[in-house]
Amino acid sequence: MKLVFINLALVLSLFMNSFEDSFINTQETELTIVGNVKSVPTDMDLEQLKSVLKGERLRWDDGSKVVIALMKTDTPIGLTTSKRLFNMTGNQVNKHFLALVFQGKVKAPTFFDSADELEAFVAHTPGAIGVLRKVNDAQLNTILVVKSKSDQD
Amino acid sequence: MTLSVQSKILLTVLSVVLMFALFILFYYPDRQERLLFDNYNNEIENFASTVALGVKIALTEENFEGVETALNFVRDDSRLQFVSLIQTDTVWKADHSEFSIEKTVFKSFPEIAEVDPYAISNEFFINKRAPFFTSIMNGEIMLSFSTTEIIKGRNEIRIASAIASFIVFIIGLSIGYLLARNISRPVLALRDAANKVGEGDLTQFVKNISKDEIGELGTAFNKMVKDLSTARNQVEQRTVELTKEKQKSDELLLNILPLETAEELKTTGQAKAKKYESVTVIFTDFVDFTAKSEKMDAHRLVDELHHCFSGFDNIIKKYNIEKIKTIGDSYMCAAGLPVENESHPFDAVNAALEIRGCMLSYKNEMEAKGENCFDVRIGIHTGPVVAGIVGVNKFAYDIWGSTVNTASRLESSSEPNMINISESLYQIIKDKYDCSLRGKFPVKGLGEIPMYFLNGMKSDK
Repeated sequence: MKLVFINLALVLSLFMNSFEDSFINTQETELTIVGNVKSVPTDMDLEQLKSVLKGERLRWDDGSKVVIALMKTDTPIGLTTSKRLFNMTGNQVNKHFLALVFQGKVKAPTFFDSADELEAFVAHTPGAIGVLRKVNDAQLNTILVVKSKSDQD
Repeated sequence: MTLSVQSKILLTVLSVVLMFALFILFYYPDRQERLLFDNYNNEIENFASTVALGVKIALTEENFEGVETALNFVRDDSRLQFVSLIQTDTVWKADHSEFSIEKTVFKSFPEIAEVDPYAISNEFFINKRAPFFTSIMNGEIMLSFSTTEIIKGRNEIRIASAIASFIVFIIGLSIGYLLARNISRPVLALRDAANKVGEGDLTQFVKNISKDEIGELGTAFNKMVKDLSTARNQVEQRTVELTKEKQKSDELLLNILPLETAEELKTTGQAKAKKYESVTVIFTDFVDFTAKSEKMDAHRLVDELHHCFSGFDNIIKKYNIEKIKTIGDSYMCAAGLPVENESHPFDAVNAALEIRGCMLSYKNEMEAKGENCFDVRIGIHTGPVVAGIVGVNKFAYDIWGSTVNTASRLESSSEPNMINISESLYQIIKDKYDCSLRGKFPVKGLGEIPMYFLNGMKSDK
């Protein structure tokens, strides 16, 4: 299956203006949202994306379950994901998902040690969405994310 | 209070059954309930431990599969009240002098549940805790499960135990009753039969249905009764034989002794001699017996004597005269003993007349055949005698005294086919009997005494 790549770099760049420079790491800024071609919409704004990744959205438009794949919070990508997308530390992210899992509200994300594993998981799991480092592979398709309001302004 | 065999057996069986029933009624359900509760407690503890482990793995390794699976399993359990993740924090005082452990509920399922992190188990809920320690968070998983199903299960166990106990009791009671009856019935039948046998009824017979020891006892009893009956029949038969033999012996004895003397001999082992003041003694003798006997065949001689003496025996028996003895061809008998009576002189006289008449008839009969026959001389005297038995072997009833001698002398002084009587007898019978004075004749030891011939009764003339 093909992955749908959402160029988060573009999205995040729009946010750069709203955050202090200390939060921005040259490496951390380069994140790519990847999703399985089945069910995962090709266009989402950042708020929608956060909502999905935080587990607030359980199903896609076609009814299939949202499956979240993240890099472990002790990895650079995981760390960046926690800060940028969840606005939490890694431990807080774990506690966040633990709380959701405890209440049965969401299926817990699958955490990976390696990007390749995450990529392969998302590619083969319908409804899966994950966060990776920016992919510069020309063979992979990327899909632009819908610009945010600030960008449009 | 005496208990019957049936009651004893029934009580014994009932005691055992009752103990078993009580065991089923109380002990078994109690054990089962405890087992149920223990298993339930263990189950909840295991759930809590599994969830706690899952939480630990989730927080330390960021692998939520375990906690998801555990929580899904727990949430699907209908007995679940709530599952809570309790966070434990160490809270120091401002001066850091001491600390306390505070528990707060991090998350619960269901979310609406108001959870007291310090809640303990009660009769309605069982609360179990499993701690976990991670670098991110310390806490414990608290599981609360309802005891409704356990209580329901406990009640079901109690009801089932009560029913089972009742069924066991009824079955035991039935078995006990049947067993008691099966044992006591034949025993009672044996008892009744034994009582009747004791009363003499040897026709008793017990039916044997079982082949156990009681059946063997019944068989042995029947054999015993049969043997007893056979033995009794043999005894009775033997008794009859012995009675007959005794009768024969008595008859033989009576043949030898008078009845009263024989009874006295049998009773006391001896017979005392008795003096009789007035007895009439008869002597008979066959004329020229010795000479005639030499000419006769020995068998015929004995036959003749037997014939004559048998006749004499029959005659004197009629008159209640006691035969004393025979000495060769002499026949001695006495009237008025062993039982004294007043009629003895007349009895003797009548007997003597009949003896003479009998002999005369026999003589005529024999002469008609051209055969010889004996003539008889008879002598009778009345006077005192002493009667008794002497000796220990072949003893005989005999009489002693001058009366005997006198009677003997009168016989020897008589004529063939004549009855010679003494003065004393004459004086007694003269009014009724015709007698002829013969005159005085010498008698050894007595000198000369008057003698009379008895001719017959005066009415015969």
